[in-house]
Amino acid sequence: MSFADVTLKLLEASKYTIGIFFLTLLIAIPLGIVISACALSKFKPLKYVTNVFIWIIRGTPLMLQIIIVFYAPGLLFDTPIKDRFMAAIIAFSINYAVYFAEIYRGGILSMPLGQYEAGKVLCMNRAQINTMIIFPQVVKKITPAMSNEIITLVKDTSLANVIGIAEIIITAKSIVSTKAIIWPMFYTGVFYLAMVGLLTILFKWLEKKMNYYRA
Amino acid sequence: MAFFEVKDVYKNFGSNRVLKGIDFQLEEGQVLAIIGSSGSGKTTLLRCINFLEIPDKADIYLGGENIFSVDNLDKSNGEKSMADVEEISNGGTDNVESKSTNSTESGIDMAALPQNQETVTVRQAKKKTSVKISKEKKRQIAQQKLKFGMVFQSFNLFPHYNVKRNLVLAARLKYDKSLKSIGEKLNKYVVGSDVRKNRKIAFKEIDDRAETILQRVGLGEKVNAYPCELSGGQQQRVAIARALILQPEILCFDEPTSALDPELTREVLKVIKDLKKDNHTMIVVTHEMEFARKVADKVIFMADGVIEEQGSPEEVFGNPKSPKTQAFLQEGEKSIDED
Repeated sequence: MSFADVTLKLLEASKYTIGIFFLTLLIAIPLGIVISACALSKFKPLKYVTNVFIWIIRGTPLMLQIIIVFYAPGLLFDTPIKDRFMAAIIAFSINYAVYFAEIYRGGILSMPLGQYEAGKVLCMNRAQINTMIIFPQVVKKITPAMSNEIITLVKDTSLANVIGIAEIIITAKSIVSTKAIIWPMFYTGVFYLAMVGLLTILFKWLEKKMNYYRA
Repeated sequence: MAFFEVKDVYKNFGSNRVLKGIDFQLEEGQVLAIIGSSGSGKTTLLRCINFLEIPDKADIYLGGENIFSVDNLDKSNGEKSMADVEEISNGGTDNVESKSTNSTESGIDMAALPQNQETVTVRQAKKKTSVKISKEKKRQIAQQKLKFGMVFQSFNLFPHYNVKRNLVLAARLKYDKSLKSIGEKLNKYVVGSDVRKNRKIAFKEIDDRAETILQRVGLGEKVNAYPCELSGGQQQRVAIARALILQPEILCFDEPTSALDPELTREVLKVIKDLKKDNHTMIVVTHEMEFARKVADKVIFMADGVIEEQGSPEEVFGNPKSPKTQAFLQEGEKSIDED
C-alpha cells in the first residue's frame, strides 16, 4: 500500500475525529456552564447532586463511559443505540462538560469580591454584574486552562475506537493488520500534531487578543 | 433634623458584635471623618450605610425622611434573627431557595412559636415570614442604594473596561432602568424609533458628563486608558469619578488612600477637598489624621464598635476627653524609637 493511499485513508478517517471534536465542543462548552452553575448553586441538594455527578464522571475512564453510553440503553431498556457516532458524542460531551464546568467554577471563584461589591454599589443587579463584570474577566482567566483541555480532546477522540468508529487510530490499525506494515500507525501522529498545531496557533492568537488589559 | 442621620446601628457577625449602637448626624455639604484603630468597626459602619452589609438594627434618615429601618436584633439574647439577615445580606439578589435552607438551619427558637409544634410547621411558618420581610427590605434597599456612592480602598475598577466605560456603565444601566414599559424596553432596539433616539441623546449626555467629571478629578486625557495603565492615585480618582457620575447624595470613602504612597495620597485627598467646595456630603473612613484635622467638619473616633468621641476636629484632636481617644492620638505621634 502506497504512502498516498494510506494518507487518503487516514484523511478520510479524520472526518470522524474532527466531527467528534467539533460536536463535543459545541455541546460541552454550554453544558459546562449549566453544570458549573449547579455546582455553585446555593440550593444545597442541587449542589450535592452535581458534585456526585462530577465525581462519577471524573472518577471513571472516558473509555468506560463511551462503552456504557453505547451498550447500556440496549441492555437495560431494550432500546439499543443504533448510531455509534451519536453514542460517542453523548459520552464525550458529558465528560468534557464536567471538566469545563470545573474550569469555569475555578475562574468564577478566583474573581475578587471587590468586583461584585463595586457592581453592587453602582446599583447593578446580579445578572448585570455577572454578564458585564464577572464573565468577561473569567473568559480571559480560563483561556489557558481551556486550551489545555481542548487540546486533550483532540487526542481523546481516538478512544471512540472502542465502539468501532472508523476514526484515525482504528483505520491505521486495520491497515497494519491487513497489509502487514507498521508505519501507518506511527504516521497517525502527524495528523494529531497538525490539528493540535492549528489549535495552538489559534489559542495563542486569542490570548494575545485578550491581552489589552491586565487584571 | 439633620440632613443625614443614623440611629442605633447594630451589627453582629455570628457571635462577634462589631457595631454596638452607633448614632450620628451630618449636615448637607459636611465632611465626616471616621477614625479609629483597625477592628474598631469603622469600615463595617460605612458598609452598613452603603447596604453592602445589612445591619441587624438601624434607622437611617436622609433629608428628614426615614429611608431605611431594620430591627432583627433579638432583645432576649442579643442574637440576630438569622432568617431575615442571611437573605438580604447577600445583596438582595439571591434566589429564594437559598434562604429556605438558611432559615431551617438557623434555629427554631427565634420563631417564637410554641415548642410542642411539629418541626415541619415551624419551618413553613418561618419560610413565609422571612420571604415577605426580605422582599420588602430588598425593594427598600434597591431604591435607596442610588443615594450613596462608594469608593473602596482597593479601587475595584473594572479592569476589562477603559476609564470612560467604567464611568458610563452604571449610568447607562440606570437610564435603561428608567424605561418602564415593555414597549419602551423593546423599542430601544428598533432603529429609528423615538425611544432609541432619546436613548442615544441621553447616552451622549452621560458621555459628556463623564468627561466633565474626569476633567474635574484631573484625568481629562485618560478617557481611553485602561485601569492597568494608570497609577494607584489615578485609579482611585477614576473610582471617585465613577461614584460621582450617579450623583449620589452622600459619597462614602473606605480608607481611600491606604493603598497609596504619600505623593499619590496627596493627589487623591486634594480631589476630595475640591469636592467639598462643591458642597458634596462625604463620609471618609481614614487613617490620615492630617486630612481629618484639616478637611473634615466633624470627626468620629470609634473604638470597639461604639463611638468613643465625636465633635469638630478642634474638639477631638485639640482637646480629646476620652482616655481611649487620647491614647490613640498619642500613639500616632510617637516615633518608633520610643517603644
